[in-house]
Amino acid sequence: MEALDALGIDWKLLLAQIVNFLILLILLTKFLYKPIVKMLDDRSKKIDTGLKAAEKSEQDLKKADVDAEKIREKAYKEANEILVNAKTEASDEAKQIVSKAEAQAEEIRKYAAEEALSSKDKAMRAAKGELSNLVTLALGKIIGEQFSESDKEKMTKEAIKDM
Amino acid sequence: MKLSPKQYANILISNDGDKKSLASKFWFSLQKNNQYKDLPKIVAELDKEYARENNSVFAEILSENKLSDDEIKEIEAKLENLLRKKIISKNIVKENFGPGIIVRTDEMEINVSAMGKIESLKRLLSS
Repeated sequence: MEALDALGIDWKLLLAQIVNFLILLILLTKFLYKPIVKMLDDRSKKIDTGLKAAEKSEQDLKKADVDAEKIREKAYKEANEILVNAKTEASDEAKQIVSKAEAQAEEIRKYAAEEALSSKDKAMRAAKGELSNLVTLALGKIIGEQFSESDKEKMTKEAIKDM
Repeated sequence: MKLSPKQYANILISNDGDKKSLASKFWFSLQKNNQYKDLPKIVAELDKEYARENNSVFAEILSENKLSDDEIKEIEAKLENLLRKKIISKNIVKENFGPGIIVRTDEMEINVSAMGKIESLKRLLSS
């Protein structure tokens, strides 16, 4: 105490100030520091939650992007398959049409060839018929007009012998 | 009842009764059925039936001029040789028939006429 006195410090005043400080400290701690810390903690928690939500949203967004990309790829594949199928079907149909047309052309060609042959045959038959009629007529006339009765009798006798 | 030429021929050949009555019925039937036009056919059938009754073959010999007896005998002999049966023939004269003859029986025809040869040539040319 004496030392304090020697230094010019009033210990009573110092004690009072210490008490005042402690009272102030307790009051500050209770009414200011704790609420502020709590508020800060709350804020920090909120920020953490927000960050987590943002992170989750980002992840969800990425996932949605991936899903969208998958869906888009799938749709593209399906569209491509449909296109390929349509092309194949169109190609098959075209082949069928070409094949049918070729068969029809072949039939027409055959028919035309047969018709041509038939016409030729008909013309040949008609010509042969005409020729044979002419020959018959000519020979008939020769027999009827050119042979005498004695010639005919002679020929008849020959025919009887040849029987 | 209307009869065919063959039926008339059969009746006329097979009936041994009264010939006068048969002839009368025959003419009556022809008149009734308006069959005078069938008379040549009936006569032809009669020839065939007569030949059949006598176990012979009837042959028609077609020619432009009437054939001599020798010629007919020659033809009959050849036919008998061919068919191994007795032949009763009839020479039918056809105008504009041409040289040669045609011999016809129920079963066969021998065509040695000029027209027959021409027909053969015609067929050959047409084929």
